[in-house]
Amino acid sequence: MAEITIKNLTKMFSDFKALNNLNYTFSTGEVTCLLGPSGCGKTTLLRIIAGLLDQTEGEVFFGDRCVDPLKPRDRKIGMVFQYPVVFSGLDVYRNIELPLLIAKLSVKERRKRIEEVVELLSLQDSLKLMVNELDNGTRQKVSVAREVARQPEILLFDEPMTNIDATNKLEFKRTFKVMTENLNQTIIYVTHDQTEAMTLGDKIALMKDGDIIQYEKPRQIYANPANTFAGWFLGNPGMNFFSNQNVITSNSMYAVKNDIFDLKFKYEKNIENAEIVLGIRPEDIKVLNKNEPGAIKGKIVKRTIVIGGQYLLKVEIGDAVCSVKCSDSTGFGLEKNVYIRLPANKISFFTLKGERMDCKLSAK
Amino acid sequence: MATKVEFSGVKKGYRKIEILSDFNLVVEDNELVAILGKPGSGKSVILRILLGLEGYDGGTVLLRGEDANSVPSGKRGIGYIPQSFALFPNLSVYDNIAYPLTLAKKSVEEIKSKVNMIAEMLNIGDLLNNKPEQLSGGEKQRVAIARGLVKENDIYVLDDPLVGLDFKLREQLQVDLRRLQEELSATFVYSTSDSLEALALADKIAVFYDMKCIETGDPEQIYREPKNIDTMRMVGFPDVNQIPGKIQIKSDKAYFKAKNLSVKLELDNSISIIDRVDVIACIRPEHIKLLEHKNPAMITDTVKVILKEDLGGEVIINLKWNDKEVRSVVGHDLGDRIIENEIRINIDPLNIRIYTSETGVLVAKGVREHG
Repeated sequence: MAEITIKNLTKMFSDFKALNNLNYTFSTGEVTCLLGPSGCGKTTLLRIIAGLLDQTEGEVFFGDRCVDPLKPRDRKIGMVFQYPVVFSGLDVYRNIELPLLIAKLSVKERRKRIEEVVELLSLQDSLKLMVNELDNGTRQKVSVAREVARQPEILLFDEPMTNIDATNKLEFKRTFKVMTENLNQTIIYVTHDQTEAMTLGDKIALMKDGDIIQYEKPRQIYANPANTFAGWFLGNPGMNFFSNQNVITSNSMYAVKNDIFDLKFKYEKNIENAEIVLGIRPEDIKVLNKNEPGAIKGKIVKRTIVIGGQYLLKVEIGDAVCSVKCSDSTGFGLEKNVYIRLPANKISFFTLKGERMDCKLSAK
Repeated sequence: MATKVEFSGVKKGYRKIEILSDFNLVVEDNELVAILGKPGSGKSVILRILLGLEGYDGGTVLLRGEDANSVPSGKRGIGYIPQSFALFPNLSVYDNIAYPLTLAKKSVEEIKSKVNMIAEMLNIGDLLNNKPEQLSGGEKQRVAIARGLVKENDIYVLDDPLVGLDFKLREQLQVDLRRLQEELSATFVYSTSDSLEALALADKIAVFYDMKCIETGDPEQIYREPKNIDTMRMVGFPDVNQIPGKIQIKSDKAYFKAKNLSVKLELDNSISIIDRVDVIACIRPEHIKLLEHKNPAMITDTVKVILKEDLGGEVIINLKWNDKEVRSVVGHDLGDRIIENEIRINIDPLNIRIYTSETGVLVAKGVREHG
């Protein structure tokens, strides 16, 4: 099985730079989700890997083999599109078998491979059904099964859940998860949905404006975003940011000390008197009815119900307003005047330009 | 606070389909009211009646205290933001926004100051010289909203203005829209098919289902204490858990009975209920608690974990309980701790709501038997 390496990959659409000199290796045996807002270049990258689009500059390797001269059909890839591609008029079994017949595999080999994928994708009950009788979720499973049965080195998914309704999405996700845990192909999965990416991806390549901003495990990106965009894009709502925080020096350490923060930390570069940005996720802020050491006085200016019946509070602290998430039971009895606590170990540090700074908090 | 719009006892039907049978809704000054419903649920009839594009069959609609029937459509002074925004491709962003004012023959100075003001409010001040084709989807949407809001009105009707946009963009524009509504001190009547959007924006929500208005109330009431099962099903994310069963009445005590599940009930006395009637027990995902200590007051069981869906701040835990798929939602700290295939669930009976299968009416709540 082959890893995918892209070297100096750039794609221009006339004056518009869709991909900006990308250099990455996507590991074999892993699901990499290309995630980002529309227009970030994720589908362009997938299409170049598939050979459906030519890059302007750079190279694509599968293992140590440069695939640029190869047509899509010669790249040993399997691809699943937004809309399930199935052969209507054939039953599920025949749909999976057709490419294997074309590849002139023996009866025994065909049967073996079909049995394997059918089990992997829990399609046992649908085998004899005509594809026209299936819902879109099962149809999409059939198109995945057909691609997997061909045993390509690389599997590419282009927003495969777009046309599956909510009830069948869960089944597709579950099947996908079980399947990918049992496969050792390199899998690239394009989506704009952060939940899909965080649930299905072993790693996420977060994209913006033709760049890959961060390529890491989902939880790592969520907890340690590489920049303010990543902090904002993942999470609903994203991180709270407090910009223009003055850094002072105190006892050979740096500090941010004001009405909201009281942080002491170390950093490898000289940032004396610099201004930085501090970020914290809404669910990491604690909201309290009573004052306690380290808490700050705030005022609830808005309270709405969000995911899972939680409350999303807009809390005014000094000149700033921050989003705070709390459970229904915590949020229900809250008065307008509250206290909030921003745990130091949950705070992310960024430069004014929004790049992550790896600061070490002093142990207090 | 003055009342801007008041529907009382409004009736409206198309041939044999009765959409509004006795529709009541009071929209106060500076309020944002969401009309929530799936496409085809009949929600836009409210917008059309308000705009004067359609009549009604009975009841009264008061517009700023005046019978709406006496005000022709063109003179109602209601701003309208439609679902699909057709920007003029040959005009700049400035001219697109200025269009309604130009049409109303306003002075150049007035147009300039108003366009600039609304563009600043929507963060598109630096795009005014661009053409629509140079804009991203979200920017186009902002321009269209600006055009809809530029002509001063005290009431605006917005027809699902964020449908089809990326999730993050919607999140951003929701904040912008609510802020704008407050800054303009205007009344918004806002239709949407996204229940989280309605919960995030609205002071009041009117829920439409299957060509009927089934419930109105503030977000708190609509989410926490829905009187109708379809409201319970439609509002909130992740979806509510539903367990079909029967009512059992034994020596004045009522129970909900399903496979391996028995819940003591407090019946709503205003509704008569008969023994053995088919009902559905609804439990919100956040009320299925995981990894908590045993507590005799709680309903408890061991269930199988099917799939964890990671939302970032929260994790949806899909479970199999008595051959039925249910879901719980927990914070990510707790979600990360769930690694076993089998875990214990705790449910407080107080959080269980019982609706009849046939009519979907709320008939009972769970009560604790012990503790």
